[in-house]
Amino acid sequence: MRNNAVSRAAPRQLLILLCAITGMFAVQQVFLPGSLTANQVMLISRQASALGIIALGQAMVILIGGIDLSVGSVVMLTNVFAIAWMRGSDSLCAQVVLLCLAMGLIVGAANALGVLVLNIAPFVMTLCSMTILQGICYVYTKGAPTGSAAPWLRSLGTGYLFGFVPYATAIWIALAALLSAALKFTSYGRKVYAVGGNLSAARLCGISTFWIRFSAYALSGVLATVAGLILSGYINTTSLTIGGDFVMNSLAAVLIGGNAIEGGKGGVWGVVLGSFFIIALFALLTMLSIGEVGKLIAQGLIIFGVVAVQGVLRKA
Amino acid sequence: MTNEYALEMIGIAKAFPGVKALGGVDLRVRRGELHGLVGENGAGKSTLMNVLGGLVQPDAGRILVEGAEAAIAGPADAARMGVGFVHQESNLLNNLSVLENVFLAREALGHMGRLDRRAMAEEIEALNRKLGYNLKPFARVGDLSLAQQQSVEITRALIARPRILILDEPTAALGEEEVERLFRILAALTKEGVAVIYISHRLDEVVRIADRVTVLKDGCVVGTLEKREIARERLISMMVGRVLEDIYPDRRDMAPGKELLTVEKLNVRGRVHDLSFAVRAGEIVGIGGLEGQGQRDALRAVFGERAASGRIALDGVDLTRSGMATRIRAGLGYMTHDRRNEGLVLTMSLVKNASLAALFRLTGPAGIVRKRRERAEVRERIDGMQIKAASIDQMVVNLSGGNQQKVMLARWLLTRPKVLLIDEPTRGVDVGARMSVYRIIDSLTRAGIGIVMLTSDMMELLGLSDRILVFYGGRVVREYARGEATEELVIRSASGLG
Amino acid sequence: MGAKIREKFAATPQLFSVLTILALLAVTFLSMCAYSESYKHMQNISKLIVQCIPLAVVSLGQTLVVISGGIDLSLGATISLTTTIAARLMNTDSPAQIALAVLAMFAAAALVGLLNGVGVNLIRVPPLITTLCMSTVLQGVALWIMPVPGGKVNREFATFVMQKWGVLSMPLILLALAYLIIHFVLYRTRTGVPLYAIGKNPRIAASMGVKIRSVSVRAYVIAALLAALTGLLLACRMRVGDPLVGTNYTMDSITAAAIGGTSLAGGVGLISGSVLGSFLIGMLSNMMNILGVDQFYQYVLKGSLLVLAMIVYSIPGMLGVKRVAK
Repeated sequence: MRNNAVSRAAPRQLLILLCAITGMFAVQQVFLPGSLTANQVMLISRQASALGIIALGQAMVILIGGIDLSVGSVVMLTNVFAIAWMRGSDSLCAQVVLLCLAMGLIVGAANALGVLVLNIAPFVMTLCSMTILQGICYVYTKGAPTGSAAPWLRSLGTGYLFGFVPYATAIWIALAALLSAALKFTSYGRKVYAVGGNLSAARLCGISTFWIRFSAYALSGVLATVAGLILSGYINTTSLTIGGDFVMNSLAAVLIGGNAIEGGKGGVWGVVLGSFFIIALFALLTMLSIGEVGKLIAQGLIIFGVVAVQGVLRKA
Repeated sequence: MTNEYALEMIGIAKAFPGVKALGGVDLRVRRGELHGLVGENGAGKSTLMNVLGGLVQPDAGRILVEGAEAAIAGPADAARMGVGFVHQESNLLNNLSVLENVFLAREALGHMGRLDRRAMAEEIEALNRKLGYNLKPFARVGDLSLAQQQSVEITRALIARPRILILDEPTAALGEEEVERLFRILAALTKEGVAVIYISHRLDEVVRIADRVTVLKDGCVVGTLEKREIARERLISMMVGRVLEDIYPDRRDMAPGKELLTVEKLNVRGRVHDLSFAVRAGEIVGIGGLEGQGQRDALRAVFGERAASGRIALDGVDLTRSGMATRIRAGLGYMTHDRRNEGLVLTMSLVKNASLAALFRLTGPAGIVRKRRERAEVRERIDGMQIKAASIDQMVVNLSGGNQQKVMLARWLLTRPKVLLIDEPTRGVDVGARMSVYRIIDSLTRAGIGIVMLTSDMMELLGLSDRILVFYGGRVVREYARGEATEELVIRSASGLG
Repeated sequence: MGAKIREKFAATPQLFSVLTILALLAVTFLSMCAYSESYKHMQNISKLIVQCIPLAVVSLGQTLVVISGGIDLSLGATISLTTTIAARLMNTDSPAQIALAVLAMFAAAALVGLLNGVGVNLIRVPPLITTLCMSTVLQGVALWIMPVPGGKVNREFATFVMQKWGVLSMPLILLALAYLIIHFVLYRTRTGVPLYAIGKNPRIAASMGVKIRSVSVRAYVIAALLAALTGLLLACRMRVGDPLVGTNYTMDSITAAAIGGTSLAGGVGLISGSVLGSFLIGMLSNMMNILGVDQFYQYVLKGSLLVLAMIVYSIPGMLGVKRVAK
């Protein structure tokens, strides 16, 4: 019946994603028989965890009707300062981690204040913070970054839980589960969806639209920091290109995951699958020895294709 | 014989999910005739005109313009067929100028295909002189008053030299002088042979200017009256189909209780001046007046949505400095008139919409929503109000207007209010549901809740209110007790005549 | 007289932003003239202007798309792509082939714009994703045509396109031409007002008879063509093709438009503002270079400038009656 078509669309988007991922694995098995193992899937999931965690934050911001272009720079910021301050030893590790999380929170708060108090469009405000953070990173490292991560962080970035699941993946899934539970079961979650779905209506219901939206931007900043910490542990050095494509890929992951760009609709697990899909796609294209050119073209076309199909099915 | 009618709509039928808007409607309008179209909220007038204007596609039926079959697939077709539409709510683009709005999608071209702004401005000035308007072609529409915006819409419609002109509730925002000017314009138009379709709730106006009147009820034509047959009582009985007293609950036995809501010297800058009134338990206070006289601002200021000075107290608790969340918890509720844009969250289900304002009551430790209790309470309300929905998880966007309105009511009832401010209780609600809504409101008052009801529907205002406060220029200019008011008296007060 | 000025301001609130930038530009320019020797020389001023022009051209296009309610993240990649096409095809002495190369650049751009327009309006994928994916695909194509910067642009042609006469230069003339054409389209043809209309409220615009899809596609095509012009200018300046040259232009064009008073929500914007915004960005970069400001600090300043501009623009709004409680 038409009435429930819209509410049934969400699982349908997930289904399409699952099909796409399965299809990719099938292709991999065909072209590179034997390469598809549980270990390899775990490796991909670790690679995807940074994007996955960032995408969770991006999803929150998009849910309330905004956008966060500064996530890549926050990763870079975290990386630069964590590596520089840790200096390869465990002694200051805990303090540095806390400091970095505080920085991420401040960035998120600054974004929120710019959007909510100064009435600057989210796109513009987060573009500003992205630029400013990039500058700060460049200035601080003077273009030549140095340092290394504390051993604890390194083990976090490279180690395994139960010898099988990468810590990174475990953290990612745990965060996703927490966020999903919050959105589904708490009044906070209801308010988030209400604010994203109809800001005026939420306001008239006594919901504090300021704090709900503030929390989304703050969360995005903090989650980007977490991703940055894990990544820093993994690469064990500073990289000024670490911010890379996180902005674009997180946006793609959120939309592929079935969330609406206008906000108010969507879930966490779609974004999780979407992040995994994107990284798995990159990995597959690399494994098939497709050059940079092919990779870019395939990426663009496939992501567009998935969103287009989802759009068509949402209307059906 | 075939060209006697400028417009013939034959057998027009249209159903939206959940509600049958039109069931085989025939409408014939002669050339040079001013044809009134009346009916209650939800009778189908707007839908019928939207079909004519190309905004809605009918499920069945034909349209003939001057004897020739017309296929109207969109607004452009309607315009090409010579149909002009002046909408009830401003259908203009606020960021553009008067000139740009008037000529949008039909700009005048000079040589080399360039826009000829001077020619367009001159046409507007010419029309200004003819109609008695004073529109500045380069003024921004967003800066104009509602009445002026309507003038822009009329100008836009007339520039295209329509053969058929539709006006939907044209006098809602106009003062007496502007109304007279509009009637003069319409009289001139009909003399030139233009067919005018005039939709209005103001029966006195319709009686005065219409050549013929068609009455719609529940999506069907009740009848079409010739000039000599047109009379107010006849129209009302045709519209309503039953004696007025039957639709509205009998409240003669109601005696109001203690004072619940006290409003003292409420001032909203530029909109409301020194407003003071009180609402007692079990009372329905009706608020009437022309569009834009400050009623809505006042109501919203009482709820806390609008900045204001003055004092507001609910059941002894001073709420003057409190935000909306606090006022809701204290027992004050506000149901907006604009269901779509600030009422329902269309991306959420029925149950989630219903509990949205009452989350403070339905949340347990750690912020977790008590789903079982939530669902039980929502189900109880749905049954109590006879809301027709497949399940409480149904998406609210697919419900009919009447059911959507009831869901909003349910939302506020779930907050256990002491006083409920309702803005347009039955806007866009079909007749069947309206009676149901009135019964619900009545039963609320019998449970001790005080209601303030803002409505532009005269019948509703007169039929349901225990007391009527009429607004003009940001103040209450007149108060009527039950039985004292008539339509004429209220309109007089609303026009500032005392 | 005062009333007329107030009326004009009321009609176009963005005039305020344009004047602000003009003032900032003047202040910057004058202070640089006082401080730096190099500003006193004609050729340095001319060089500065020429440096700002590519961004100004592409910002014109971005402004159109944003006014219509969309956004184009593929303009940078389009620029890169067209420079690679230029470098591949203009490595010749035949004027006919050069002409063909120019044609190929603009044809390719038109196709890109068309595809963007179709993706957004017919397949109904949000502009953000459509143009983002297009950007990725175009980047791949550009790298395929030219994996590293290379190729060659015919010397005479390049010199012709970049020639200077004192303060004036060919690029400036091209910008002026582009500006005049876009101005004409926006304010004097039937495409202009509908662009603002669909950006403000597509539903009402449609009900008034505007053909939304057709108008929107036109915006994307024009933007892409302007990106091709930018690519032409860059190719002639560099004399080679570079598959990554356009990368920063996307965000910068949005920044320039935002500084110039164009609202990302759509329906509001002045192309003069965007052009001035690009010049402001270029001039500030130049100024910081001359002052010996660390290259990296410039990022910080660019971001801060944008925030400042946004705050300044929101002031007129804040001065209005505050009607709504918290």
